Amino acid sequence: MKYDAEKREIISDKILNNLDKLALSFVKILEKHVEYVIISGYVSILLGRTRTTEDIDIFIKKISFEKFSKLYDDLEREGFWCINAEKAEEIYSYLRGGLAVRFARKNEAVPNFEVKFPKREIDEEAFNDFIIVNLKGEKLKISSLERQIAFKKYYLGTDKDIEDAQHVEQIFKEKIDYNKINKFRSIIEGIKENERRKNIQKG
Amino acid sequence: MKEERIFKKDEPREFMKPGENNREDRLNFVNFWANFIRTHSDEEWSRQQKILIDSQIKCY
Repeated sequence: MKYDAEKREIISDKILNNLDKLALSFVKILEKHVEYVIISGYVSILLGRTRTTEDIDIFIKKISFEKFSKLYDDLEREGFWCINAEKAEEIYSYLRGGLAVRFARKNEAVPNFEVKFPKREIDEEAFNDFIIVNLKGEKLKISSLERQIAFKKYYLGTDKDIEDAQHVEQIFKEKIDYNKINKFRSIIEGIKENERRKNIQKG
Repeated sequence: MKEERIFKKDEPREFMKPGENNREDRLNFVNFWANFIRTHSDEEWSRQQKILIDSQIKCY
């Protein structure tokens, strides 16, 4: 794998596994309708982690109901279903309400794509610093390595997340911008403090 | 099927340090595997990853 940090591109000659193939077929439909960026666990798997996952997390830019409806029609036509609801209106209302919705191959539940609108400013910014992973001509957009490492390490923080972050960090260690990671870290600490306060108020 | 060698014969082998506990051992393996990826072709490491993932995920 070769990472060009300036071009924000990773060239990978990996042999595609079934999860990679599924991600590519979903994204091919998605990108016809909306901007997207893949985040979290699958990013580490795409870059070589030796584990699999039940879901692939994706941010999509906020779109109108009309645009979403066309996307949903296309997904259904290409053999995907939503496991949260059937009607486009209902699925869209979940998204608008800040909730994630999941799409899988028809009649199946896993693996699935957890699709959501970004809620926080820091999440919106994932569309500005994404990286293209070029898989012998087929392309996937993933969040920046620094964003991936910071969220896994300092926001999610389970053993699995720390291992995911460590994997990415070790592979690309000479090209990681640690100043960026520290900036993300301080924003994340603010978010966690706000969440902690809200939880105390709730009770 | 062509048998591929995991470690190249002419290169000194890298060894993984066993961890003092499960958590440390897992992290040591993450570092070992990341180093494997860095020192081997994409084809070589991804062939192994594909066996693991495709054994659990059939559809695409």
